[in-house]
Amino acid sequence: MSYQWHFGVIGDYWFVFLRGGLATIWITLGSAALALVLGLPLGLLRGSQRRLLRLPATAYIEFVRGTPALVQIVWIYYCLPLLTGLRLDPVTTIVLAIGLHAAAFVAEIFRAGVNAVDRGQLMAAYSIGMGHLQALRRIILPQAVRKMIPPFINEFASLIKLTTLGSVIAVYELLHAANGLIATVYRPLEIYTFLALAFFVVIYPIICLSQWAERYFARRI
Amino acid sequence: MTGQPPSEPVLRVEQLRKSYGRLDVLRGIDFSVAAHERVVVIGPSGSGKSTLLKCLNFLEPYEGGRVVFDGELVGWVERGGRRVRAPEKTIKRMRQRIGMVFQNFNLFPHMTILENVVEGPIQVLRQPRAEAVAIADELLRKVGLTDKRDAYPSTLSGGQQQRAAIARALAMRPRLMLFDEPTSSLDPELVGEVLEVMKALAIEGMTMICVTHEMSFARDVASRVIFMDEGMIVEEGPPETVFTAPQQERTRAFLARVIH
Ligand SMILES: Nc1ncnc2c1ncn2[C@@H]1O[C@H](COP(=O)(O)OP(=O)(O)OP(=O)(O)O)[C@@H](O)[C@H]1O
Ligand SMILES: [Mg+2]
Repeated sequence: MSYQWHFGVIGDYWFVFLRGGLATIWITLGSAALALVLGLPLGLLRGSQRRLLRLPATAYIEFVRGTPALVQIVWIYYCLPLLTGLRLDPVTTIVLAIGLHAAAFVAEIFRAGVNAVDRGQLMAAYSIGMGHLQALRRIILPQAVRKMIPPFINEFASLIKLTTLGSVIAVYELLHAANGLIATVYRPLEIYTFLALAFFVVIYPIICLSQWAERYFARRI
Repeated sequence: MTGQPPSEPVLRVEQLRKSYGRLDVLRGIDFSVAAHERVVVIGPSGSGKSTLLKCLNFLEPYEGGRVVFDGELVGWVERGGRRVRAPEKTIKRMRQRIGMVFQNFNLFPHMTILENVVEGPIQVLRQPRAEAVAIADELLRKVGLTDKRDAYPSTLSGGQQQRAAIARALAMRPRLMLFDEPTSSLDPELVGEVLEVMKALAIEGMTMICVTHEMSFARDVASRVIFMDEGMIVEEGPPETVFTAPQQERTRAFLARVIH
């Protein structure tokens, strides 16, 4: 096989990748913010003693974790407008869908972090007269956060990968931009290879950071 | 402090009952502790000693009987003939005046020793920081940890951690101290330094209830020894009597096992 690689095509169309890359970054940050904002209270509810609070949160988390992200995205894009009459543009849809999806995972990370703190810590906090919220804020959360940071970083890496699912609803992120370019210049080998490498160069350091953080905090606490 | 007659004990426990599901852990406990008394609780594993201590400051809610601390019912209020959980504020105020020391120290690992000791006074009692730090430094001096004040708990030996935990409890100026096997997880050579601190507290007149199997400590310090088995008090009396002339067969059998 003597294929003539022409990676020059990447340089010629750099603006296509820039535009797609910016969209990918925006979707990543937007959905990550949404996932955190929704995931933290969701995790608290999930760990609540009260059934009325715990059950809906549990149901949501299990449902999201038990269905494919791609199905969730197309459902929000095609079904939600039919049911509610609310029509969202593709970018808002993908931010919302990935945010709602990742929130379930953030909630689980959050709950696992809180559970990983020794129960004796809560006893000690109560024994000096702290209330539940004060103990959570001053004693449990600062310790839990250290345990949560490595899996959060990992989840962030997953979330970057999920953004490529936006291509199925025509969101102009990197994969969609690449597809569009391939349709014009017909260079799938170069373009997809470059795309894979570009994602790897961004995501791999994040995974390394997560592993480093895990070792760092393991030594600290 | 609350203007009750001098005869009123610091703590009064009447017919205390507690179960975990179908397991009856405490089956009618009666005793009281007067000011400056040092009560040592002994008993086999699983007899309910830790559970008893946790009921005293309502870390575990009890179902039957009464715990009265400083003239006030602990944890519950009577409302329309029924018992409901006391308001959070009342429970917190009660816990502020009962210090607790745990077998596993339970120091806050993300705080230095000094921060551990001032946490309660600043966050709970709303003491000004300067005042809390001054008191904490004095307490750390008393337990011999002045040089560890800025160290993190994980860098301390077990004995040092337990002494820091005692200082943390004392910083709240408690009326009563509860110790749950404070030396059981320590290497033998570190037991002495913790017992010394507790003895000093006893000499100062601190009212304390201590679950421990350190018989020498009980003999030297206790004004009373309580032997518990299967959720009940089997025998109670001054250490000389309980240790040298126990009245109950179960006490005798237990002592024969722990005193080699
Ligand atoms: N949270 C809990 N849930 C269910 N059962 C419990 C719980 N805590 C304690 N128990 C049970 O209650 C009984 C008494 O336990 P407790 O810890 O009070 O005993 P103990 O006298 O302190 O024993 P040890 O000397 O081993 O510390 C045991 O059978 C124990 O298994
Ligand atoms: Mg115990």
